[in-house]
Order: sequence, then structure tokens, then C-alpha cells
Amino acid sequence: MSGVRARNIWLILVGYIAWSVLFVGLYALQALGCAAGWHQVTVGPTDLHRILLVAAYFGGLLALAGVLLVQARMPTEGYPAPAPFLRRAGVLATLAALVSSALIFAPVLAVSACR
Amino acid sequence: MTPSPIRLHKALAADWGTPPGWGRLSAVNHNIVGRRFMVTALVFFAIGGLLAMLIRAQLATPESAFIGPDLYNQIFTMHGTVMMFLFAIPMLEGFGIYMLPKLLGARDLAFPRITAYGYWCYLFGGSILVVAMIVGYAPDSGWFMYTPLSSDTYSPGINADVWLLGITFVEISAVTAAVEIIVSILKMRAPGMSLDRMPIFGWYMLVTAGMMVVGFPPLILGSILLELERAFELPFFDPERGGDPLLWQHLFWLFGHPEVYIIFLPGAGVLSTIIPVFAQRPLIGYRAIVVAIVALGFLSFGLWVHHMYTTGLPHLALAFFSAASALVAVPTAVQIFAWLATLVHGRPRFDVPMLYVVGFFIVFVIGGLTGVMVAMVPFDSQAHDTHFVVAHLHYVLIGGFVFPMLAGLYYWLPHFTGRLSVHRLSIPAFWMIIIGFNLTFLLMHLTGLMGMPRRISTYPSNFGWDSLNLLSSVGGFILTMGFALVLADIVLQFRFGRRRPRDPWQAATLEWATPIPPPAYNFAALPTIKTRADRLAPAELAPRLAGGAGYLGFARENRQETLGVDMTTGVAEQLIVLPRPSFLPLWTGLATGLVFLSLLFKVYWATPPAILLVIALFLMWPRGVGSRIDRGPLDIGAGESAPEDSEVKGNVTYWANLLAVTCNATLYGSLLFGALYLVVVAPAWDVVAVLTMSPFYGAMPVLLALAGAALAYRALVANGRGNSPSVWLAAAAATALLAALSLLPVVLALPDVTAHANPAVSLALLCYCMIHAGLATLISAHAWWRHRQGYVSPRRATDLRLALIWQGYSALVMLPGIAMVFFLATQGGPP
Repeated sequence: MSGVRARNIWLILVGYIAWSVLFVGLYALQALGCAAGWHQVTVGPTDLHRILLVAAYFGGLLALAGVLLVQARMPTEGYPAPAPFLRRAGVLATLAALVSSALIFAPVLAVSACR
Repeated sequence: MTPSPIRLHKALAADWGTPPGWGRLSAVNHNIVGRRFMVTALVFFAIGGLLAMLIRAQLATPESAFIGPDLYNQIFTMHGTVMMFLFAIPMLEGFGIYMLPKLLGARDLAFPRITAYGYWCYLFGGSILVVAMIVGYAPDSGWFMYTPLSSDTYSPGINADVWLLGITFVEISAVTAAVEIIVSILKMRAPGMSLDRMPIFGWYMLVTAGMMVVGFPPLILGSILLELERAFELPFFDPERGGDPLLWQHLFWLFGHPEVYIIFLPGAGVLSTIIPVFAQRPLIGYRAIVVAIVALGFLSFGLWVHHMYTTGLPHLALAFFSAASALVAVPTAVQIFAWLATLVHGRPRFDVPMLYVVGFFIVFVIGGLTGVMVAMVPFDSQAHDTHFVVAHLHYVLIGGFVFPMLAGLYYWLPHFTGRLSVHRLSIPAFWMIIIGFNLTFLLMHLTGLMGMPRRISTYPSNFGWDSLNLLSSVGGFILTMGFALVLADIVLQFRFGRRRPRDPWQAATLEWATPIPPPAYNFAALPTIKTRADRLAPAELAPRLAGGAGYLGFARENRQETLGVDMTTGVAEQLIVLPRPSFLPLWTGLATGLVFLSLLFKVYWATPPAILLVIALFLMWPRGVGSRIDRGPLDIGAGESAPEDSEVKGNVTYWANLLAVTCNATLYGSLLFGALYLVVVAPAWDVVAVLTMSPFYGAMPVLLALAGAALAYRALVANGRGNSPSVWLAAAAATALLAALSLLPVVLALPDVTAHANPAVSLALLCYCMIHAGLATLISAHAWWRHRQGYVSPRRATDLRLALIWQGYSALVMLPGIAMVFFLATQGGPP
């Protein structure tokens, strides 16, 4: 079996795997920050905890956008081009993961983190 | 020369058949085991339904003295437990086991004996629960077993142990079925069936099984930890000793919410298969549906905290889960609109299955809408633990699983029986079910909104709940009568239904190209798929396949042969030789039962011998499996040849082990999460006696485990070069054993593990690492033995690859495990 072919299955999964990593990362950052008292460290008009959460949020979105870009630019024909179905479905799934991330994690911008 | 269809059928039937009489207990064929799963699940459904009737009888009138509160606790706990663990999941497993090979164009699943073992675990585990209920020792802490209610302090008897051990026993079948289903879908489709040609039900089951692989381990871990707390006083969930009851809720709902979608997705797969048949046009939005179910699979793991909104979590955490809970409605809606579009653009014809499809739309959409309501924190804070939630969950679960399964039952029953339904009963049965269901549960929204809490055994008559409850109970009995009519209809169909030839619905999927009822081998020859596999013509295909035109249209050496394909393209790659009927799954299931019973009755001296017996029996499974010679490519028909599975690198055994490692890693990840959670969240962590030991003692097992993995790799390389891997394998086994033993000083240095969760968690981590180093030892030694027996060659290296996988995993878990133990040692100080 060709390794390239087997890897094609990941095209559909990679976006939401990135979403999962971002979810776990942000949830852990929220809990660790509260336990460590980062929300009490003032940085300008906000606090250290908020800055870290927002940075992780936008960093995650940028990473997902990068994955989407790579997938959208994958070769459409010739070896090792993925099967058209998997390529298109992969782009859609990663786009969905990007939108899901933007919406689900947006509360880091405003909602109180430790109360 | 091509044999006649009759002669071919006889030859294949002899090779694939199951012996009669007591020999039936040795059955491993997916047709038999799948049917057993489904019939057993229906028996449990009847038991769960009976319990529901008792609940409704009790709640029909205020201040009822019909059932006392203690018995009522057992009844509602068992109702939820039976319906979720003993009916819904096994039913979907059984359906997948029975139907998938036929839809995919295979003769069986990848691991028939594992299927049978899973069934016995399900039957025995479920029986433990039911027998306990009959003798009055049923679990009584709710189907979610929240601590501290389920802890030893408040549930001192055996009842909670029955749940923890019985359900864990049953879950073996869920995990084995999930691994088997994934491997079979990816590797055992008909030649030419690329992923984009796969019938949509295959995608549904692929995502469902993937969710089971990572969804069940957190609950298995939680059950193990809670049983350890109850049996040996290890305080994982005791807040006075560094534990936290909320850790249980996290572990339970990490499983529990994906579970809802694990149950719904197969039902949705049934709908996506049935609706195009009755709409008389192909499914609209195939690709969008695939993306939607992948999204649903992932998003469902980001919702678990919406069962915990009222536990005092910070607003940000609540906001994540609330947003995810609302957003999950989008991929669900994508499917609903795709089904509606298929119906609108087709030429719908109505028959009994379509009645249940319409019933699904009504019931499930209402359940989905109330789901969005309870996803919102302010509303849920009001409705939490009221009958509104009971109504919502029944709309979702009965709407999303039972209605589609009833549609599927009427659609595929002719496949089981070769007969058509007796419509005179099926139509009134539907109306009784839909009316009875809505009467029962629609009104429950109102009682919930009027403040009626869940799980109360009785209520005073001055709250205005009386008439609504009475009507709900009347509806419940009408619903039950409807189900009884369905049962009668099934029996009558077997007895009086009109005989029909293949494909009575003019469907376009492969399962209708088998004879009905199907023979043990499904297809006399495997088809070539050149278009999407829900646009086929089974009536034309079937006679050609029956005549042996296709792949493997012959019987060879009394072997059970089917094909393995490339995962994405569906190109035929390997010849898979499946094992024959065997009593080993039954004996191993019984021995596994001994392990659980010894734990349940606290006869702990009997547990180690029972575990050894299980291991010994498992070691007997590979006897005779594989080949002692390199056969090279063999004729697979259609002018093609392919090597045997054992001579191919990416074979089904290899992939199954990778999936087992994934499942295992999820359990370990949950344990590491639990350790960190307690450090961060649990109270009473600043004054605790901790491990005082040089980290050198931790470095030793890590280095030894890494060395074991390196030696296993050297064995594989040596074998590939034509040299003997024996010495490397023996060294790898010995090194892994040393790694396991080198953890003992760390274990012995732990302070009192019953005093605080810190050393208790360290013990759990160390035990996990020791068990996996032991497993690496066992598998490496087994590979060594297989090599000595002649089953290993440069081409036949599966045993060596398995040794490398498990040695590598042992090394992989050792580093974070030991690091966590020594990190925990930095927390707290002398009490």
C-alpha cells in the first residue's frame, strides 16, 4: 500500500484535530492561569492571563488558516495528488473547524476567566 | 473451470459454516454473532422498558406507595444503565457487525473471534447487572454514578460495584467492536470501492467507531479509579483526602456526551441509507454529509461540561461549552436538510419504514431544539435536574436512535427473514408508538418547567403536576403496547410473511445482492465496484456473483478467504484468511468473567490466577494462525493476484494494534489529565506526605523501556535483512521485564496511598507503566516463540511489528508517567 494514499485520509481529520488541540490548550490555559494567579498580574489595561488566552486564540486560528491554505493549494492531479473527493472534503472540514474555533473560543476576548 | 453456482455454494457453505448443536457456541461468523448481539439487545430493551413502566406506574399518582424510594433508586438507575449500555450501544454494534460486511462487499469482519469474544463479554457483563437486580442488589446511584453518592461512604453495599465492574466488562465488547469496525471499513471493502464510493452508512459507522475508540476509555478509567477507591481506599474522588468528586463527572461526561452522538450517528446512517431508496433518487449532499459527521464526531467531544453547568465552573469554561453545544446543531442540521432535499427532489413512496422516518423528523427536531435551549447556561440553570431534561434526552435518544432503528428494522427485516412484513400490525404499531411517545414525553417538558425534579420517587399533590403525570404514564403504557405490537409483527413476519426474492425495495446497495437470508459467506464472489456503492443494481449483480463471476469466486483449501484493499483507493492488495469457528472466545469470555466476579465478590486471591488464565487463553488464539511458508501472490480471481495478509506490512492486525494503542493512549491521557486536574483544582494539596526519592530511580525504567523499543526495532531490521531476530527479541523481552521490575522500588517508596490522592495517583500511573512494560515483555516473547515456530520470515513480520508497537508504546508512556510522579512529589509537603 502506498503511504501517500493512506495519508490522504488525514486530510478530512487534520482541521478538527487542530480544533481539538486548541480546545484542550485553551481550557488548560484557563485552569492553570486561574490556579497560578495570572489573572492578578496586571499588564497595561488587562492582565497576563487574558493576554495569554487571546494570543493562544489568535495563534490557533492562524495555524488553522495555514492548514486550510496548504490544503486548498494541494496539487489536483498527478502523483502524489490526493483523491479529489478527499481533497475537497478536507478543505471543507478544515474550513468548518476554523469557523468552529473562531466561534467557540471567542469568549476568551471578553468573558471572565476565573469567576 | 468455473464451478456451477450450486456446487460453489456448497463448497463455500462447508468452509464458512458453523457446526450444529453445541458447536453453535463456537460461532464466530458475523451473521450469527451480529444477530446474537441484536436479539440480546432487544431482550435488554424489553427489560429496560419494563423498568420504565414501573417508573411510570409509580409516578402516575401523587404520594404513591407502589414502590419505596430505595427500590425506586435501583429501578431508575437500572433503566438508564440498561437502555444506554445494554441496549443502544450493543444494538448499534450488532447491526454494524451484521450489516457492514454486506454493504461493503466483504465476506466477514476482520477479526471474527474478537467479535465473538466481545459478544460473550456483553452477555456475561449484562447478565451480572440483571441478576444483581433480580436478587435486589442493583446499582442505585443513577446511571451516571456520581461520587460521593456512589462512594463507599454513601453506597456501602455491593450495588455500586455491580455497576462499575459489570459495565466495564460490557465495555470490552464496545472497544473490540469499534476497533474491528474501523479496520474492516478501511481495509475490507470490495475491490474498486474507494472511500468516495463507500455507501454513506460506512462513513457513519467509521466516525462512530472512531468516537468509541477515544470516547470509552475515560469512562473505563473512571470506573477503575472509583472501584479502586471503593475496594482499596485510594481517595481519587474524596475531597477530604486530596480527591475531587468533580473529577468523576469530567471523566464520566467525557464519555457520556459523545455517547449520545455514538448512539445517534448509526441511526442517522440508517436514515441516509433508507431515505434515498424511498425517495427514488441518490442521496443529496454526500460530501457535505461526510464533512458534517466528521465535524459532529469532533464537536461532540467539546460538549461534556454542559452536563455540569451548575457545578460552579468559571464563566469562560461555561462559555466554551455553551458555544460548542449550540454549534453542534449545525452539522446535525446539514444532514436533516440533505434528507429533506433528497425527499423533495425525489419521487417519495410511502411504506412502513417511511412512517418511522417521518416520526424521526418530528421527534428528533423537537429534541434538537430543546437541546439548544439547555445548551444555554441561564436556561439550563433553571431546567437542570428537572423533568424537562428527561423529556429532552428521550426526544433525542428515542428520536435519534429508536425511530431510525425501527425504520431500519422494517427495511432490513426481509434481509433476515426473506419475507415481507405483515402490514396490518406494523401500521397501528407505529401510531401507538408516536402517540404514546409524545403523550409521555411532551408533557414531561411541562412538569419539568413547573419544577418537578428528576429521580424523585413520589411527589405531593399540591404542585399541579398530578394530571400531567397521569397522562404521561398513560402515554408510556400506550408506547409500550406499540413496541409489543412491533415484537408481535416481527414474530408474525417470520411465520406468515410473504416470501420475497432479493431486493424487495429496489434498493441500490450491495447487501441486497446477497441471497436473503444471507449465507455465512455473504457473496459467492466479491464484486468490482465502479461507481458509488449506493447506485448499484443488486438484482443484476446478484446472479453474476452467485455464479462466481468476480473476485474469489471459488473455494480453496477449506479456507475462509476474503480480500483486503488499499484504504483510500479500494485497490485489492491482500488475501485475508479468516479463522474458523472456535470455542476459545467463549472460554476466554468466561475466564474474563471470573476476573470480574472475583473483584465483585472481593475474593481478591482469585483475581491473579483468573487474569493468568485469561492471558493463557489469549496466547492460544494465534495457534495455527498465519503461515509457515512464504506463498507469494495467490490467484484472487478477476485475473489478479495478491499476497496473503500475513505477508503484507499494513495488514489488518497491524492497524488493529495501532487502534488499540490509540484507545489505550486515550485512557492514559485521561489519567494524566486527572492527575493535573487534582493538582490544579482539588483542595487539601498543600499538606501531604509525598514521594521522597532520587529521580535517578525514575530514569532507570525510562531508559530500559527505550532500550526495549530499540531492541525490538533491531529485531525487525535484522529480520528484514534475512538474519535471525531471535536474540534481539529475547533481549527486548528481557529489557522490558527489567523496566517493569525497576518501577518496583518507586512503588514501594510511595507514602501511604490511602492517605491522600497524591500518592494514590502516583500509584495508578506507576501501575499503568508496569502493566505496559509487562505487556511489551509478553508480546516480544510471543514474537520470539512465533519465530521459533516458523511463522516469521522477512516477508511475514507481523509479530515483530506488533512487538515494536507495544515496546514503543511502553517507552512512550514511561516518560510522562514517571515525570508526572516526580512532579507530584514536588507538590505539598510533610503533613
